[in-house]
Amino acid sequence: MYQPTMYRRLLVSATLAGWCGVGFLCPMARAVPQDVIAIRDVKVHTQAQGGVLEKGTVVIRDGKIAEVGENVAIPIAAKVIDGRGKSLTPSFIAVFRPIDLQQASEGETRTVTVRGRSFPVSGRSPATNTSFQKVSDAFSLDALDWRAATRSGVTVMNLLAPGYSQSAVIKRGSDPYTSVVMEPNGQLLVTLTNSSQSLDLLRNNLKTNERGGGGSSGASAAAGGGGGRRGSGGPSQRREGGGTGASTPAASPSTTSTGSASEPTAEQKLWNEVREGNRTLWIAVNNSATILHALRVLSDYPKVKAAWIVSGTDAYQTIQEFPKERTQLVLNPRIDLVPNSRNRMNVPAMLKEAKVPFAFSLGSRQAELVEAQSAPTFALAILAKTGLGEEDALRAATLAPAKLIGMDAQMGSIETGKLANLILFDGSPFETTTSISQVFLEGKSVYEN
Amino acid sequence: MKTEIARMILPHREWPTLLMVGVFGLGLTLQTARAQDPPPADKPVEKSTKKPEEEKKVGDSKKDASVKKSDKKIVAIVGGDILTVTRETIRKGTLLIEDGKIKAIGKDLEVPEDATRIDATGKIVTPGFMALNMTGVGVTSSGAGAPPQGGRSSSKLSDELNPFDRNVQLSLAVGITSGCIQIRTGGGGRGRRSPDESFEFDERFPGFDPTDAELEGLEDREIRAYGEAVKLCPCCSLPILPTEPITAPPPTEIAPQKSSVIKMSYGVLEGMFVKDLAFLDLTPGALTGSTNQAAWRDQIAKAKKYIKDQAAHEQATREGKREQPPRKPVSDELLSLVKNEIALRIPANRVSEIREQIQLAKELGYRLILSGALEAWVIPQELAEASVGLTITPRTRREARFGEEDTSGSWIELPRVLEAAGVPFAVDALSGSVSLGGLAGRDLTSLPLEAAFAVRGGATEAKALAAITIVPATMLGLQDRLGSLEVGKDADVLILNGPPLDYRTYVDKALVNGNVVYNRTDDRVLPVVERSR
Repeated sequence: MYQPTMYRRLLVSATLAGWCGVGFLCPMARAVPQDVIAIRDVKVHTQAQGGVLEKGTVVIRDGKIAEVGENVAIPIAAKVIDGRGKSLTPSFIAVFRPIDLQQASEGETRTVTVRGRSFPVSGRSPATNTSFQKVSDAFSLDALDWRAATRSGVTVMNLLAPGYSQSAVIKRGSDPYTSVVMEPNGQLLVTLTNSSQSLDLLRNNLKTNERGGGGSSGASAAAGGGGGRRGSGGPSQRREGGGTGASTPAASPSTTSTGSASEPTAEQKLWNEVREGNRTLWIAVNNSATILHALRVLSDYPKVKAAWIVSGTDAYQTIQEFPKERTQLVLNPRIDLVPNSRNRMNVPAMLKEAKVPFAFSLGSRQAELVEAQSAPTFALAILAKTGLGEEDALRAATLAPAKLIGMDAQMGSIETGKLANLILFDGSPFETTTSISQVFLEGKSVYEN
Repeated sequence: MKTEIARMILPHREWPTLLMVGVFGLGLTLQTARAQDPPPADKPVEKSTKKPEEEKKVGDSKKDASVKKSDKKIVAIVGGDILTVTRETIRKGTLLIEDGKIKAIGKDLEVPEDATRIDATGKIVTPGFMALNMTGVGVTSSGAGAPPQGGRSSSKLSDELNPFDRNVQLSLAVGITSGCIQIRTGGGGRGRRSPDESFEFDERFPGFDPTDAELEGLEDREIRAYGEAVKLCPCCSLPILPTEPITAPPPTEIAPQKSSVIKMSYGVLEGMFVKDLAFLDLTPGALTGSTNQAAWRDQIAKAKKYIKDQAAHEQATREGKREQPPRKPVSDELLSLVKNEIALRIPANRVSEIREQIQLAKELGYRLILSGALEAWVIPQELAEASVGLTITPRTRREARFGEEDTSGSWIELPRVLEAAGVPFAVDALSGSVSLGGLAGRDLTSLPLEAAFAVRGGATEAKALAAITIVPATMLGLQDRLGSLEVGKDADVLILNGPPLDYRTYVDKALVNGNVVYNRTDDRVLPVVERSR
């Protein structure tokens, strides 16, 4: 998996070297020592069993963390970075980065209400988009600009399309204008609101799979009930059928689903996994009522695990309703207002107390990343100091998202064997005067302040 | 005659007597509640129950309460004066609630050890109030972005409930625990436009939407103020408003709107949805004019024929014949109306309108509820004979027509006249929506105040309280679940710090299905201060 990256890295250094006017052999000589980096005397927030090492040393070899500890021998060949007065954390993961894959349809507007004021916003509501999209199929690798993200310590993103989609995990490429797909088969996301059409998406897909594989009755019922609007059964199955070349194009959704009854489609397989609890279902909701409606649907499926993309206020109102062992919440790291009041509250701290696991959707918006400049931990710091605690705040931006996207074996903490995705802060990450001094992606420095 | 009235309004046969007991006995009870002398009923209320089967039920539940420590959730409201509405008032009584239902009401009831005690000493306990006309409370019209396919929307109200709606809390703050909410099925409205189009949109999804700061930058104020379809005049930049067509629209199918019943169970989705079909509503003027009436007669005739055909078809199927089932020519709601499962509610104010509707209802044989009914005081006997239910808003005023000063316009004594004639009436608030956060005093949250105005107009307090509890419950066909405090009914209970129709009274606590969903000291909707009376 890392071979192409290595190759590209060499290529890049080669071009760089070419510009410098250095000879042809030099790049090899330059590239080798870079493969071993040692950061010494640094405060390491490992997010692992080691906890926080006050004067730790981290050795990076071949893009991975080779050694972490307080008394670690530094290899002679290593390029040494003096970390005195600095802090090292795992890099942040944008666990929820929406990307609009569809061309904005002309003339379609919807109304968004913010504290009693209505705004017309172009584009459809995500909840009305009920046809299945796989992000890795439609995403173009040069669509994202990583500059602001890199500056903020975000080098890995979980890309989701609004509506009903399967995410893709991507990382920054060799330059900030390219992306590399790490995991094309990501998370299954449904965007729900409290309307029949939207909730039927959840109901029918869970029910369909219960009938084993095809489940024609559930799918056809959905097509009938949704007035043919729900495209989850029809179009995507047709697409899958076209891919295998086995099934013939069918006239109605019901016949399509009976036709595919023998062999479940990729989409149906995902739902089968969800129903069996082998895959976490991601649910984005727009209000607290929807959480109750969705929980009511899920109550019939005791194995289903769900990750909820919610606002802090909605989480606060429904905190008691979630089945803790099968729930993860994805929140914006911010201080929220108590509903119908001007009192402020720290919802993550409440969740911590209620023992509901959660992750922060850091870097979910380009605008926020640009605003944050090189101090992305400001929001985390406020939460940390008003009751969440520093390590828990950091965990929600590093290890918790890694676990959520199922990549905690590779990233999310500073442990031997994991990828060297690190952020070097020039002080404590939770001080306002601190900024990021260096960002590493798989051992390679991608940003220096 | 009065039993007949009750029978027309009540779908069940055993209830007329009860309603009679309730409505006529209530005057006495309320009077005694407010008088200083001790109440006549010292023993628990169930013992005076006339129905033997209920007596038995009470006996059982009492035994249960005292003997075994059940694992069920029991709430006990202790020490308050209980206004049951349909039975006697109990001074310093106890109300036991188990699993969301009223388990026992009485004077010296034993409270189980594991029960949650709510002290109501010095307070008044009443059933929750019911609003017959609500809009924009407890639902999010989130499906608004999705146009219905094939002319009919597939969305269900039960999916659109929003128990966290602020208006739910505001309604609870004045004691409304359940209500009838109109569903706009789109189109079908005739005559005037629906006055309340004020559904709250909330189409924000964390991450998928512009931030507050970005939204602040949007500059579409004028367009928003008049709606999206309105264009601005290029020279004066004033909005070009759409005009109504001058000619009368051609007669089309009369499509009544549907009303459903929901409870104000703040924060609890379970048990919020009560009844899908409670009323059929028609806009004012929908049945005026011979073309409209002809269309309506035609539809009712079709519905009746379909019911007959359906019965014949079922008979044939039973006999083993194979036949095509008859095609359904009208909506299910209209069929329910023809089957007398629900009533038709239509606004009618003038004497001529009221008579016209009574005539139509009699001819076509459906139950009728008239809203408004400003001039009903002119013809109380006719209304009583026709067994029509009324919903009135005592504060509404209308000038008498010139030359008809004695037989037209509103009259403040309408409630008294109706009570004297034995016409059942419910009280409606001035508006079905909550405006200005409930501060205007002319919106849904003025419901108890509106009932107080019925007292001002000469109705007894008991009748006025019944007009926002048991009478609306009966009109909705939910009199065996809501509207009064009786054993076996839903535990929708208010704990008030004063008499229910006093404008100084606050709701201290409101329970819906046995859960405390409103608490004045916590929810901070209305002032928390206690003033000396």
